[in-house]
Amino acid sequence: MVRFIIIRLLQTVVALIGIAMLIFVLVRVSGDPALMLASATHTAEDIQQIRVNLGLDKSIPEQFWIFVTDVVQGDLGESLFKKKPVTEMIGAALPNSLRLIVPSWAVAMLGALLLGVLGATRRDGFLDNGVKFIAILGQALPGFWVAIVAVFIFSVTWQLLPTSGLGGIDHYVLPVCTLGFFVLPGMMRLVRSSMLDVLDSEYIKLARIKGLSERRIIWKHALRNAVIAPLTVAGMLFAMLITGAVIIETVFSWPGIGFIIVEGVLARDFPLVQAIVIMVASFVLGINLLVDISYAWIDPQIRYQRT
Amino acid sequence: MSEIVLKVEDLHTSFFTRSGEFRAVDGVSFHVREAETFGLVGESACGKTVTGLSILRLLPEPAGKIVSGKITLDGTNILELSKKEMRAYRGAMISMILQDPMTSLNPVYTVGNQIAEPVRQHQRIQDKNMVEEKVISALRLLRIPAPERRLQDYPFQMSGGMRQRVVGSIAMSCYPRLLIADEPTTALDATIQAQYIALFKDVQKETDVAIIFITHDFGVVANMCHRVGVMYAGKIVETAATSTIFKAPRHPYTNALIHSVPRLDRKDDRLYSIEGQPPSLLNLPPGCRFAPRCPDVMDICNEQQPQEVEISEGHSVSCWKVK
Ligand SMILES: Nc1ncnc2c1ncn2[C@@H]1O[C@H](COP(=O)(O)OP(=O)(O)OP(=O)(O)O)[C@@H](O)[C@H]1O
Ligand SMILES: [Mg+2]
Repeated sequence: MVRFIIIRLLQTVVALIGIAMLIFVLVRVSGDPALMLASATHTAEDIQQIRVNLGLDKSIPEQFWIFVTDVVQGDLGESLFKKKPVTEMIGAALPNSLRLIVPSWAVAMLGALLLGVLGATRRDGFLDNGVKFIAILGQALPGFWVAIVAVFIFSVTWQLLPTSGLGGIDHYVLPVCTLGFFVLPGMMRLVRSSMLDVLDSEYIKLARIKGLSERRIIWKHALRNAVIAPLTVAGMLFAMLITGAVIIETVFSWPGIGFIIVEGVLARDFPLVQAIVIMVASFVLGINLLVDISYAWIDPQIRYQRT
Repeated sequence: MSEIVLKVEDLHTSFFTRSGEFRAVDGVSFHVREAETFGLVGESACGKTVTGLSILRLLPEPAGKIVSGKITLDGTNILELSKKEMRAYRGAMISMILQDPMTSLNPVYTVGNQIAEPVRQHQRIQDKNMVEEKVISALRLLRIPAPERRLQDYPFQMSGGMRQRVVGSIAMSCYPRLLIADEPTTALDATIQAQYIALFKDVQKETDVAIIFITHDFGVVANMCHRVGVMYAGKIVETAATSTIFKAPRHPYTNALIHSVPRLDRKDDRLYSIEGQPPSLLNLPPGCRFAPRCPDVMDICNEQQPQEVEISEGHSVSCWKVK
């Protein structure tokens, strides 16, 4: 188990370095920030001077080396426009994003698990058909549309919930539910079909032969086997929520990472975009690492093979 | 003679599907005594497994239903038990071993955990050490070496033969009165198969359990069973002691089945196989179900079903030829 974790950790670091290089090159081919900083009165020499000041006159490998040595020392650079360290900007926005994403993910996963299991065990019953209907809806409707409609119904028409911004628990209801709805249906279908496969297996038959109660059969014998496959997807869905948050944060004016990265990209703010992408990437990779470890914990066969 | 443990009388089990009623078991009667092994033999799809599942009342829902009949275990008609009472019988009074040892154990729980479940459930023992003691004695009953060290093992760490012994331990953990073994050796290779059968004879001697042994292999029948019921298309066509079945089979189907067993002592290794297919369970012929394939068919066979006749003590046949 320890060896397995170390190997996966090394893989994660290698992947992260690759992503850092890629984003570093990509932002630099996307446009020249010196032109955006410059105004009409600047001469060509002035603009060149801005490039020198920003270190953009050096070759890309050279710039990358400087960037990496800075990062190792904990310095991710300064925003070109706000003149503030990007770490400070991210530090202010990140908790807001996490406050949105983590509950959305938790609500969606728990909901998917519960609905998926109930759907599978009451196959073709009233509940199962309801579950299937939600799944189709969720996959057909675009997320921003759901968010806007929800705002219209609950905030504008019924005036039950606030439309935007941070605040008390009532501010969370709409953003969390609409963001969670991005990933709930897909996960629910996975759990349902995986559960149906498991319920058809011989070891479930044997559990019935042993005289166990239906509750124990479903929540002990079937569930643990049924979540193995959806679990890897659960990590990927978290990454999807980070992307989804860009949309939801914009709709609800939620001052998170999604909000500032949109600004950063539009302004060609290299250090800011770079830092956010690298940070989000390490986040996603970290989650995948955790998923793999919990996967090994749930499925003993993996635990034993890789030790 | 020892006590009768299980008595099945005129059991009818059907599957109700969109295309109609499949009469998978159509009037089956037999009994099994304490410490006796009753073989249930027949071609694929003749209804052996459905008979076994009917006794456990675990037919696939919602299609499978017991339509009529009586199943008595130690004098209690189990078809009249409530769902909850029936669950208390399963694993405690009646157990079953499934065919494939590779898939019948839960891959994510230890062997010890899986054997402990019926013990906890039925004997209401909560004390950890006492449960463990019971689990170890169940493993020991099936001659699993070093049982103490097996408790923490997962099924995938064991060979097929060892897993099937674990399944046997689960089945025997509460010392049931009746064990239904549904082709428990089909998936094992020949030497392991012979060991497993010898093992079950020992287990039976120690526990006096009544066994229904489902198989399509007459070699296994000769080795394991005291009496045999030969099934064809949902009916038992001949019942007799094993020695009688081999020496003097009276139903043409029994005769054909026995001759389709490959024998090492015969030079020609060509298998004798029965021509044709069993009838569809959806539209059964009015007469004898074997008539279309029977080498000795007579006119009456196609018109009327033969009644069961007891031609000697413990030997019954349903065939017009025998009348
Ligand atoms: N879930 C089901 N729905 C409909 N028909 C079924 C179902 N299960 C079994 N049957 C039918 O019941 C009949 C008897 O099946 P059964 O499994 O008892 O045969 P078997 O004698 O055990 O055969 P085998 O040797 O192949 O295991 C078959 O014709 C089968 O098609
Ligand atoms: Mg069968």
